[in-house]
Amino acid sequence: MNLNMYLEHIDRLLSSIDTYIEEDTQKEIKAHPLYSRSKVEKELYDQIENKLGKAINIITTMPLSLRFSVFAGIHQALDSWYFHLIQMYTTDLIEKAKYKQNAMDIEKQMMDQLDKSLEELLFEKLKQEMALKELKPILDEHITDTVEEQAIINALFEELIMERWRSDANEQIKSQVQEVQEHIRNIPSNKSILDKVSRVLDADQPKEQLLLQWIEKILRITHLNEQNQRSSAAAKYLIEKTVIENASDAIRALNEKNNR
Amino acid sequence: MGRTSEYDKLADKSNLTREEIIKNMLNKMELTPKEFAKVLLTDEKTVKNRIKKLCSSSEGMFEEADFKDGKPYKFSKEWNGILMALLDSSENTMAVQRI
Repeated sequence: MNLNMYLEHIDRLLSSIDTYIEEDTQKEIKAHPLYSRSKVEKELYDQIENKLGKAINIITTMPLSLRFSVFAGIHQALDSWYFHLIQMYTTDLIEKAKYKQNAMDIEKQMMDQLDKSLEELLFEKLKQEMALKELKPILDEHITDTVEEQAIINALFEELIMERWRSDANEQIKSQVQEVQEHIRNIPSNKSILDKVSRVLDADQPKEQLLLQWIEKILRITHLNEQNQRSSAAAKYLIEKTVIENASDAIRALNEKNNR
Repeated sequence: MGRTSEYDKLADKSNLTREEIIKNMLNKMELTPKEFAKVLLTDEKTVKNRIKKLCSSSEGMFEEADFKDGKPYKFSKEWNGILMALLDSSENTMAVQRI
């Protein structure tokens, strides 16, 4: 690959980064010294080309006698410059090897980083994103979805549906709860039970209204238990407990009301 | 002009244009070599070949299986933009990284 192809490649890579890569990743790449170096590298080359062009232009317009000595001078200067470049190159290699002998791993990594191409930087970024993607489901699971946490969330939601915890819920949760309650009421088998019962019981009579509410609660409990596939023994216990608690609470409230 | 006609030809094959894929799908959903080919104005075979080249020039960093979900090639939204940038600039130069 010659210098021009290399610079074309870098140019293409720079514009590809703008076109295809998502904004946050773009910012990270652009903050890396390799990115700015690649960008400046191309500009520097263009300027060198420009300066050489100007020099050649002047040389071609010079008097022939002067032009000859300028050519001779450039020829000599390029020779010494060429040797200077080779010297720089080997010195750099030797210096780095010497430094690496005593450097810590992190320093070695940083030195290697300096000699990476923009393409290698993107390779690293790609590798990193791939690894993150593999890791993400595991992380998510550990952050929000442990069995215990899910059980607690379910239990709290059930409490809300059973109206044991109503006052603390925010509006959004309240409306979700109402939706679920409505849904339970409208399940065909439940609906037919409620229809039958409401024909017998009078919702305007306090005691009969209580019975209606209990029946509806039992339907909710049954539904939630079907959803959660709890054991039938646990379901029976929960139903009994709730009915007894609710019944005694309600009867107490009713008595207090009547005694006033 | 050759590029424009090739682009039109590719755009006819499905209702999504190259620009729409870049804007609405890249970095947002999983893509296949078919969509990559449309964006890179080439065919699926070339996309697969470029991935093979990328693997061999990565000095062991990547293998083809990294870009596959089982047997077919699948490019996850998490990284398909970076891959696209690498493949787009890899036309002739992937094999050699430095001068």
